[in-house]
Amino acid sequence: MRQQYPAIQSLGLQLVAVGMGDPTQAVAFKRSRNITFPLLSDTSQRVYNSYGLGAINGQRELQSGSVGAIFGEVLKGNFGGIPVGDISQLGGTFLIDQQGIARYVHRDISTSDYPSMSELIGAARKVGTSSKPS
Amino acid sequence: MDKTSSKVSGSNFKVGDTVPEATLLNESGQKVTLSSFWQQKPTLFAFIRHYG
Repeated sequence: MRQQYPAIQSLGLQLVAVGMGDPTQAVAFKRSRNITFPLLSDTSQRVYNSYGLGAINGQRELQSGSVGAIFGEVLKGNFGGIPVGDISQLGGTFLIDQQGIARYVHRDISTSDYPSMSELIGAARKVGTSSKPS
Repeated sequence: MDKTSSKVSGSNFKVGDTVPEATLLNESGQKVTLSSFWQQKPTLFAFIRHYG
């Protein structure tokens, strides 16, 4: 998502990330990854739950091949750092317009599931034309 | 739009539904509502997995 940030901004949207760390952890993480958009804190995962975001399902992970991918990364030594937050919590991406209506919804079903950028951009373009500034 | 209609803010809302309101902490430790973002500009919320 960080790589898509300029494209997202050019569509007239703002990008806000939500994570499970507390504000201090959020600031440190942003600095370490050079993230410039806001990163909010949901340490209790209450909002993750209210947005219908689920937990990792072992079978889906095996089917999606991400277990093998994770082992590969561990063997290569690419698992630095202590996880901040519930490692079984899955993420999601939501585009919300100025009336509070969901215009794009993607809830990850596994750790290797990602939103479709083309669908997201299509939804973003429609929001841009229907909410003209007065 | 009739706000009392069946398009309530359940957790499994879909495209076209009103989303639930929520209050989170920003990086300064202050409470912020999600609506404070989307009211000013359409907003893409990315809920991330554990970081680190």
